[in-house]
Amino acid sequence: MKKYDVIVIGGGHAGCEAAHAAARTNISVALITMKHDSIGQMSCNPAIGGIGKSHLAKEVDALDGLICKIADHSALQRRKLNASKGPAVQATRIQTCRDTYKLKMQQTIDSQPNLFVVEGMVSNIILDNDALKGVVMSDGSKIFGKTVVLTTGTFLGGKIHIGDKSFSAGRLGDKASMELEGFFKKNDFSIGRLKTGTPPRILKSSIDYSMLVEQGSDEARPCLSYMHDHYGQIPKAISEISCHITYTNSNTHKIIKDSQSLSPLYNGVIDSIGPRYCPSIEDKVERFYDKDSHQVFLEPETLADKEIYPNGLSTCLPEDVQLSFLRTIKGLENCKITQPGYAIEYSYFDPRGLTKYLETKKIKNLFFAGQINGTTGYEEAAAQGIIAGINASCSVRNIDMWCPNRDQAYIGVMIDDLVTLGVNEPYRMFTSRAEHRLRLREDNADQRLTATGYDLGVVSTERLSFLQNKVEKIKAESKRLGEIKILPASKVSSILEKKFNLKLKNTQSMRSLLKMSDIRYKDIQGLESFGDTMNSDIGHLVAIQERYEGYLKRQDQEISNSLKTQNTKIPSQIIYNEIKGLSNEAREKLSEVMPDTLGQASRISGITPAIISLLRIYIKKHSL
Amino acid sequence: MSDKDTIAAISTAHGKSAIGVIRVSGQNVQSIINEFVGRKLKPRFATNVEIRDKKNISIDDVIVIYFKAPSSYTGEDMLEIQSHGNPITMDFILENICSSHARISRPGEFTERAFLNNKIDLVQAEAIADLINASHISASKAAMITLQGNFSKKIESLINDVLMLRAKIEACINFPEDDTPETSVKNNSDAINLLISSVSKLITSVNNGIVVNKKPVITIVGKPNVGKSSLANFLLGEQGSIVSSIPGTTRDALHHEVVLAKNNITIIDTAGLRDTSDSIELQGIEITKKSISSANMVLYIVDDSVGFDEEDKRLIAENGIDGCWVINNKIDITGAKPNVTAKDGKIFFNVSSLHGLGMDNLKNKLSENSIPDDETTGTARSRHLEHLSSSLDNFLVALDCNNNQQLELVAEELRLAHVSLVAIMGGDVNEDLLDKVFSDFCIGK
Repeated sequence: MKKYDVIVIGGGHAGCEAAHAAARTNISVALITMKHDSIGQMSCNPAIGGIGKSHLAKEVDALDGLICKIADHSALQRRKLNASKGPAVQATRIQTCRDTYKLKMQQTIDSQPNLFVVEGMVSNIILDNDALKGVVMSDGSKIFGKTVVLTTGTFLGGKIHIGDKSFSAGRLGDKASMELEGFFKKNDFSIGRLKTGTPPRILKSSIDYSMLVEQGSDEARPCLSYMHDHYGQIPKAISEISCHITYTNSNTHKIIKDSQSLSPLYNGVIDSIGPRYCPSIEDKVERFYDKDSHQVFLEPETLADKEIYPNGLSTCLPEDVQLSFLRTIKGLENCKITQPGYAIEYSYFDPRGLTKYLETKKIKNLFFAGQINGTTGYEEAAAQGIIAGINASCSVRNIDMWCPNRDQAYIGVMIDDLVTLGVNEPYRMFTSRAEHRLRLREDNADQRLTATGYDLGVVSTERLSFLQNKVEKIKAESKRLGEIKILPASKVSSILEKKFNLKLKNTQSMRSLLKMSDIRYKDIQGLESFGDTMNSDIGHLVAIQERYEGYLKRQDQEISNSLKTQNTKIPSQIIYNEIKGLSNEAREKLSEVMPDTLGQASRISGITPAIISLLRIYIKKHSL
Repeated sequence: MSDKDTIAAISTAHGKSAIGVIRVSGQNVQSIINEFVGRKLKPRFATNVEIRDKKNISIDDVIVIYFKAPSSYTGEDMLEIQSHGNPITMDFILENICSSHARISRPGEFTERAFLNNKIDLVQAEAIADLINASHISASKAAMITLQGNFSKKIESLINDVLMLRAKIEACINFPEDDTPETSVKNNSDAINLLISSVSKLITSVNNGIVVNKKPVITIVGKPNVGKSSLANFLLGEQGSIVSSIPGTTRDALHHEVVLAKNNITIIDTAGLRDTSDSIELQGIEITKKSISSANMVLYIVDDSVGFDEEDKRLIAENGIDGCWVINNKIDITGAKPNVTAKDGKIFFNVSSLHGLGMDNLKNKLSENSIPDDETTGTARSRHLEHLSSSLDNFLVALDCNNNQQLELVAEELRLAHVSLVAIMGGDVNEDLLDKVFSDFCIGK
């Protein structure tokens, strides 16, 4: 009889983080997967990071998660996006070798103490008097566990569509999980259908690169993990492979438009909703018909460099049509398809059925993470995975669960959005979703989260000391620069005037110069009175801190002002139907979400300030 | 906005009485007394003082009463200022107070604080709920009604412009590798400067009071001989203007003051609209157009026996009165039933002004839409000013940041401006933004 503290179902991006995190807290974890070799598989784009996504990934890394470290070790091309737009919106994006990524993930999982991989398919969940006991496998055997984390991605009820062909599958080449859905239907879980898609893969040797624009790594070779980015460890590099850029044209569009009725997206076969921000090429041609060309990024898939991933050409048109339209594109005139593009429909659970700890409200000790909560993207999945893993472990160890707030992490923004608003299309992170974007930057996720991770048991002492070291260095350099004074009539100030058109009226510290947007750390390094320092490697971080100080002070003020209302707890026994003065719509929405605090209630769509006032008065009057 | 703020509001309705009352509640009351009254006040004593502005210039001769916490309506320190009921003076006092020590109260906030400080002991929570709900509803109505129709349109247009610029910048930030239009410093500057000029114009017009009608004005228009004067007279309850069947009898617009449900409103009866070359009639029609532009609401009268036709449609479109209520008059002739219906976003009343059929429906609907008799009106205008000024500050900072190429700070200032403006009209900032980004820009690899 096998018994574990945590059972994780599914070895994708969410599952791996959940399982590994729980195992790091020294409890026993079983990771159940249909195929050991699928662990860490990237179903779609072989890249990690990007705007909003790298922010999530780095937060996972700050909690000592896996996604960034492994991406760095499998990097083929590394870039920083929005480099000229300010540190709060900069993002790192790593094109990876999907084989190396998978291999390293499997190695990491296999070598982790307390973590056991079990191959097989879960067909049912065991409940005894409404208490969770474990799972049943398709061969009838049982595995017992105190907590279960479900991270089945697109496998639950997965159905692939290519042209007029459709068949059940979790991803191309993998079986779907059909029986398990039955358990949730029986227990009245709110299940919906979503869809996502992927482009065809092209044989690299059949592409003519002679006329295409190349895009290599940035000079600086940015890394995702703080270990490599700020703590001075160097990742084991593999060879670099560039991306290339091409474009669709009117011929391409004509073929796609003419074949529209053959696409399951347009002939009614699929009616579930896909993400607006990852549209199929059929969608792009249809909605933006006045654009006569769309960009396509030809991205390397693996180190072996046999196949190319054409980013921007997601489709589920029939295979022969896919080939025809590909061949109208510059560089792809003689291309061969190695794997067709397809759309996949899958089942997901309404995330309003979860607490912010990702525990289901219906069944204690059952956690959901990843695509099954209506999100899309590896980073979104990994972020939920690590939270679910941490909280499953907290439940086992009988300590308080945790979830960051909206002003502490993008993970907090995402989870709050999911459990408060639900989803009506696959949820992907953008920086626009975070009202505290200036605070939640790529450079400071570790400063925001690592210490908490240590308290929760998922961050090692060694890792914590790396963080503390970084913080010390920043403090020291900031103090040092604060003590160097520049007088208005000095030689330095005339240099500043000449170079930056800066007239000093009073004595200023060298540190305050960094508040000016066009003065960088390297600019002050060149000044005579700069002096000596051992900490120039983190100088740019001091500059970033200075730059946002004023804004963050103002935001802090706003946060503390609204804190009282935001944090006012709503008693869990509250019955909204009994509160006079609430509209029926408000009653329904509040009862559905059962918000913890007035702050969360205020974010539900349609809940007005008047309603919050009413709730506050009701709560006080009944001194619940 | 926080519960710790000191709040202020005009507690009496505008232009209604000889005396106006401003209430202030919160921890800054003492500072306010020091600054504007200039001497210590004994609690619960009515004291005659000269209230001064920040430059120490006298504003008005007022009576002030200081209530020391917890012995006040809200349970906090309070100051009550009784001044002459001149709206301009009162607004000025309020603005001075709010410039540094306080902010305009939310609807129902004084009552809320009173309750939370256990000063009001009502048995039923419903009573408070109703009060608060009613205050919120009337506040948003006040936003529409106390200001001329144009104002809300201008705000909406301004909000739309901000949204467009934000969407462009967010698209650029979040999808740098897609074919989104690159935002240049110059393009952004131009766009922000336009916003600055629009907001400044709005602030000026609100300040000048041009925009603010203290009493709602209802203008009655329609083709000749549809019964406009008859309707006006019915509402008046007497023969105010000449009623005869010769078109063109009402040459000038006749202004009548009416009291509906205890609220004062002005009804303007106009000359019939039609194509004519008669110069005197033309003058009358010009006056009609002026009356339309100063109206909060337009009643468009139709002779039911002739019916609502293409010419009516054209006249409505030409005069820009799409939000009008259509009154199908003379149902005594056609036999239609008196009722109120809504169709295609318009409201239709079947009435007979001559015989009084269906006129109660009209009267009731009119009184629903008149100015609420409480503090929400007085403070609506100040609230708007507060939000508008706040957004102007944000735009100015955004311009600066843009010149320094700090795009993420431009985005932040625009976000704050957007939130302030939307607070005037209501609405959700986040969803609108994402919707716009995805509908306008081809995003997504």
